Amino acid sequence: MSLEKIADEVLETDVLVVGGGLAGCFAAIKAKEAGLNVTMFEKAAVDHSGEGGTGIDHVQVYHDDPSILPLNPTDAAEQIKKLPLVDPTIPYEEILSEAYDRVLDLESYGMKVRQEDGSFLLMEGDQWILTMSADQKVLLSAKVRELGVKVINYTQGTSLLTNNGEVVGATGINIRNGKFTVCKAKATVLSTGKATRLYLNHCALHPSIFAGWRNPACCGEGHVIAYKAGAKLVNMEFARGGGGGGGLPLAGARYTFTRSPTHCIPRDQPTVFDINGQPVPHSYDKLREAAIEGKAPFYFDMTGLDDKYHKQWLLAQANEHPIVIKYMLEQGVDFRRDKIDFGVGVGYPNALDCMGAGQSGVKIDDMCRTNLKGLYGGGDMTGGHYYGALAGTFVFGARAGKFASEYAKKADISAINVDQVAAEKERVFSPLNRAEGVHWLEFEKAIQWIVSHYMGVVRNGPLMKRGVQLLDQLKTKFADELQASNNHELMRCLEAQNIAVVAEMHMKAALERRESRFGLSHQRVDYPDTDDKNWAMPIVIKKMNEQMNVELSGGWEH
Amino acid sequence: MSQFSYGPKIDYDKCNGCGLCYKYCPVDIFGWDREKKQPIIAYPEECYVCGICEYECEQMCIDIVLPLHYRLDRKIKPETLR
Repeated sequence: MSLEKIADEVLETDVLVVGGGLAGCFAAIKAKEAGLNVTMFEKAAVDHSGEGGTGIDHVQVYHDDPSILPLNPTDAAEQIKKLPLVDPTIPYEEILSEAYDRVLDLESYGMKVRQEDGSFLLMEGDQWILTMSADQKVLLSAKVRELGVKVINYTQGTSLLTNNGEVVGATGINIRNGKFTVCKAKATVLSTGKATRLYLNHCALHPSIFAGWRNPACCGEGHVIAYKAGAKLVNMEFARGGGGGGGLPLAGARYTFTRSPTHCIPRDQPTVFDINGQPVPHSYDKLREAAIEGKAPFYFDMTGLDDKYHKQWLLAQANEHPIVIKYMLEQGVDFRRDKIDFGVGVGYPNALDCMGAGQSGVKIDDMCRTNLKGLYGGGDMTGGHYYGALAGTFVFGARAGKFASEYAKKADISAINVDQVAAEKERVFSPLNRAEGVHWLEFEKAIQWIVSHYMGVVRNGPLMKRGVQLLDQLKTKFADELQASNNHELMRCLEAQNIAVVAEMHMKAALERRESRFGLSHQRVDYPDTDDKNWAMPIVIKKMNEQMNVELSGGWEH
Repeated sequence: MSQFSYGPKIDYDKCNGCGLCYKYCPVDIFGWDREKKQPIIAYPEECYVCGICEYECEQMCIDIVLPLHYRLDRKIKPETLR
């Protein structure tokens, strides 16, 4: 059977970008500026998709000239290179410097980052950071369109197509009309965001059936797509401390109620207090300790802070999560006057992440290459390097686009394995073809129940081992029983199946790492100490002989 | 059928059917009524209260209803906690 008969649409492009968030947009822009034909799969509409869809309040940028920006890339790069589980072969000084160039790009697209006197609008807090605005995604997507990127909205990437181990394109399905698209590409950039939805609601103030304030569309699909094609993933055992029992989705301080809004309020200014009116140190571990000691409920008290911090903080909310302003108006909350309780404040993690060290995700090298020829990674989905969050998505997204373009210029469109496409189409549509079966949400909540209760609060070997067994049972019994009655539900089924694979990586990597590291990101009661002698290297996950191979790496090479 | 109370509510008297909410929702909770040429809230429970539909609505006819625990008075006097 021919490709054209299997797929509803067959496209050909120089660079295919899967995932149109901040990183994907920058990748597409840089590839287009390199003179190439660029196609983008985006699961929602590119205008507001991804973690930055509502805006992001700040970015950490650096400059050699202190009169332009206070932080210096050389010094910062030296600090980063000393961090554990960070790939030292990544050129951090170059990368940190590029963040400034990306800010200038955004400014040229129309974003306001300066005050009237021409200086940057900086927030003074833990560090000096540059204020961003809520419209960055709108401006970026406008630029993507202006440059002529072929944006295919509402299209969920489902698999990478390979030819002799080389990535030669991808398949996607339209979540609204079910159109199955094959896109042949000389180079492919994956930029699908962080892996969320692994734990039960981390944020009790957030009621969504999804886990919390993070964009639930970013649920590790790129991690799994890459894994299935043979890519390596690193640091998958670490999880980002939760939003707590009562965290409002407050910007930057979206973990406000468990730590403090550190990026716009200095750490030496207490904002979180215990039942005795004593400040709780800005550490998730300390908060948990205090809770166990009976010092909850904790409360958030900014009433003593200088007005300039209130202004910065409010600006941060408006630029990143404007819904918080609505909450404050509706409930008559004024943080200059009011103290707000947040219960116990210790919750489940909200996403995979190393706190303050190498990211979790698909391993990339100094040129954003994965270990698969033709496949590049950008943004929150990539792992092993420091510099995540907003600046990381800008820089690594743009670099992925740039290096993918250089590769694409020398590459040809390769032949597509028709059998691979046919098998993928059958897999993708199978939930729609079942008359009855399991609802995706039941399956997703069962995954979250296992991950939360078998490694969410306390990690220990026997507990996690049992969790892995239960997850395996769940997948064997039900992953292929999911049923969808329309294309929207089909998208959710495919997401849930991918979440199950990320959960497996997460648990197996945590089981393998027989030490504790990064506070509650990976705290094992059976191996409570950090062991730099034996465990300062990443756990690498890779598919081998159809099995998930999980092992400690001896180095950072591909 | 009863539905979740939170998420976007559309004032259909004001809605002009521009479709921006249906277009922009990052998690695809809106559907489209082809006969009435209007959006519908197809999956309210999947709303994660990001706010984009309300901010983008040209007619300002969407009101995102906040979840129950956002509707509680969380203000406290610390001295009364013990």
